[in-house]
Amino acid sequence: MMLKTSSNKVNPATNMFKLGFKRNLGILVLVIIGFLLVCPAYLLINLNNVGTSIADRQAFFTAWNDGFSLFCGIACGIAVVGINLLNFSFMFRRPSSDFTDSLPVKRTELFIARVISGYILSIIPAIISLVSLGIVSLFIVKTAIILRLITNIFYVLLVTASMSAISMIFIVASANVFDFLVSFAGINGGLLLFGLIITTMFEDLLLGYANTATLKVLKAISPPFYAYYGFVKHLYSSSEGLINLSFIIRCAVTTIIFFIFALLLYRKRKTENSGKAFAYKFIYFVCAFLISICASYVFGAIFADGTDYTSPIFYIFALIGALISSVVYGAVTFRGFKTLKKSLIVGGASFAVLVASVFIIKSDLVGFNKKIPQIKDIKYVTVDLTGETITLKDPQFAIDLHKKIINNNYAVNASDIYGPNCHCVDINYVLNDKTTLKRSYWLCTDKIDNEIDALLKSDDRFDGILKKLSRTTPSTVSFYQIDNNGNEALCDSYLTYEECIKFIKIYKQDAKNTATNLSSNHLGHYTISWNGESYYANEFYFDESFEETIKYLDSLNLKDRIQKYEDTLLTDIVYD
Amino acid sequence: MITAKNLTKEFEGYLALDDVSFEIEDGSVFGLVGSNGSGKSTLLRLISGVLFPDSGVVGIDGIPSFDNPTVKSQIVFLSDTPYFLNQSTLKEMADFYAQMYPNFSFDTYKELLKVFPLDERKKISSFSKGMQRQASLILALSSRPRYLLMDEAFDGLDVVMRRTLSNVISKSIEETNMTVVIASHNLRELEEISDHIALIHSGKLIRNGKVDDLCSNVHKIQVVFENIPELSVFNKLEVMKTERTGSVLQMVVRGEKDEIMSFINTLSPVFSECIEPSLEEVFIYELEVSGYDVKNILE
Repeated sequence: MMLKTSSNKVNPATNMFKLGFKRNLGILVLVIIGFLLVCPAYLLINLNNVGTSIADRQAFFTAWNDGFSLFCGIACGIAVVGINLLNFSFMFRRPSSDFTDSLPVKRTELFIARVISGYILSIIPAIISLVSLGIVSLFIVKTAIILRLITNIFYVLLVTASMSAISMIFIVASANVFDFLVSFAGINGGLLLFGLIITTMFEDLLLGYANTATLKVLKAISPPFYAYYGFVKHLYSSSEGLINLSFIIRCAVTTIIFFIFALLLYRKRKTENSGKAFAYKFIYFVCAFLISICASYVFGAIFADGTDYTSPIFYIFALIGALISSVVYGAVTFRGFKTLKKSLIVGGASFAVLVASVFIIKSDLVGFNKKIPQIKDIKYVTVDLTGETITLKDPQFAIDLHKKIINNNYAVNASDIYGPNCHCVDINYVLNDKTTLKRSYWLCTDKIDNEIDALLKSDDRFDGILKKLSRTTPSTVSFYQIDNNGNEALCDSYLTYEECIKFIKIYKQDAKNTATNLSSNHLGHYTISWNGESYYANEFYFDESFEETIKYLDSLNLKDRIQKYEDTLLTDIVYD
Repeated sequence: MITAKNLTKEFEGYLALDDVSFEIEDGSVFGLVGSNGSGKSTLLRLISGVLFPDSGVVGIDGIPSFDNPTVKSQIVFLSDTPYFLNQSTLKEMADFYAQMYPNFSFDTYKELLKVFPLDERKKISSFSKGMQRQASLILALSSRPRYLLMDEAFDGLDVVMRRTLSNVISKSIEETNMTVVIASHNLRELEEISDHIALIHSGKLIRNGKVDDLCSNVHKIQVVFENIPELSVFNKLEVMKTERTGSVLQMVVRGEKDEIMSFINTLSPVFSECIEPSLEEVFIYELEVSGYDVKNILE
């Protein structure tokens, strides 16, 4: 008898991919419909509530573009983790593992086929919805949002791929769904918490630690945080459609590395590990360590009523917290107290790491507190005084100021500082090797009055302000005059661009001539502010010796302009 | 030919297979018998390429099966718990198998549906355990593999279906020269269908051979003497077991039937007869001689 056999001549992995896709088609169509109901359907319904002007609609679509893209990025990230888990859940049960692993497909091909099918299934609804947003925007607002939309879609694809890669490491290393949930949430959340704990300790124990570094630490230790931070930063950037190439490359490279790592783990994964706790034991230890170190710190902080690192209470409860969390985690993971000894060791190790961290940071073994770069290594330096950043041509001034703060122990803990003259002074060195060294000191500025006075009168300061103004050339600049008691002698007035330039030049001359210490003996200050690439504001302290400045401002009749300010501002927005 | 050489597999300190070597000729039905936890399933999973051996080699014609699609496309492995894609019907599963196995035959599939009357449009999850087993057999046989590995194949099947399955397998072997490896803890199930039997215990292959050879060489002798001679007289025979009840002596003896009976007759018995033992009995005698606790091996 002639047998009718299968016409299958293609790679079974490709067939597996196609079949997986076909089997999920129904759900996929439903999800696509759901997305389309949100965008563009809901968007079009809400369009009636927006004004009919092009500007209004343009703003509405821009907001939708960014907001909905972020929603899509988060939804795709969650979806890809869920679908990957479903696609690879065969590893977690012996019957399904036996069935899948006996199929004539190479392990690598199976991994790739399932990862790609999960990725495509995750992104299709979001992409269709975002593309429809672009098409609708083309019909309704002629000045389309297409370029930004395309970059947003690109970011959605990237963060989804990143989430897929990260989740695959945890899925492959788990031996059941519980393992995955605990390790994925525990390690990713634990890393963020651990980062926050370490940076809190830096803030508490190091002199001059700039808390902006916390973000850097979190980005460095948590890939999902890094991916979504980059996405959100892109959405908040005012640059139309531009991408942050450095972020894209880093995110893409880490994603590829994670995929390769997950694939290697998958290839090495013993198929007999289905259902047992953790296919790779190191995941358990990493997870247990992170959970117990975080619990250790939290317990210590709660019972010592804050992070008092000198209190024995802190350490006693930190140890209790570490041991309890480790034992509980071990008992839950292994369904009993079989691993009690191991859990106690991990808990003890976590506590030891916490204590060692406190000791290392507090004793400043790495020389953080005293570190000042050599002048030959500095490219330039900026000093930030109460919100105004001054770029100094001569780094020696900053070095001297820095030394004075360190040698006289002027810096105090932020929580211990009170009074009107107490501020934060940031010194940011940009070094020749393109690295930065940033220090942020809370101190009473009356101790460095002369240095602040010199900075306020410096050419560097005025050159910087004029440079910023000339770069953005606003048609008007908002102008305030406020006395030392905080009363507004003049508010909601404005200067034209040319007037502002002239004002600064006259003020600079008066500042050079006056003997008054502007840091401590002023009568009040003028404030100019404008919107450019970002919001800019500068304060100019004055007293009665600033005769030319006062005379010039009087000649402008600024009080008469107060009523016109709002109209001028609106005109700026529409036409600028 | 399926070949395994010095195969060892350990699970977290538990030695599931210990230096196992064997060959299974093409076109044969190889029965693998052993108690629960003896290593039968592990052996099948190693042959099918599901597991990777800790040491040794297993595969087809000397080519390892692990992560080798060419080899694996010739093997269909039916696990002790049948598995089907989530929410799938038998028809969908047939389509899936057809995409995976190059020799899948829809004609065979249709024929088998007549033998095992199942509704191919119904979700398999709604089938009974026996029906699911039948479904997995339909899919496996329709794939027309060169090697069919079945773990506890008769579980959940009634007597009629067991007989039907035996017939279907025999027919498939005739048609395609398929090799079948069946693992079971029940020797009686395997005896009927297998032409080779291997006994596995604690990860070791303790007996392996053709069913005919295993049975033809062991004989159960029943002899009646007026005065039973000293048992040392029988030392010339390879006696595996002796039982004495009054003047009746029952012996299990290994060797040629004619030679054994001629020796017995030289002792002038009142009555003597040779009974062919069942395969199960042969195994029991063999294992007892080897010092195994038979109760724990054969259920």
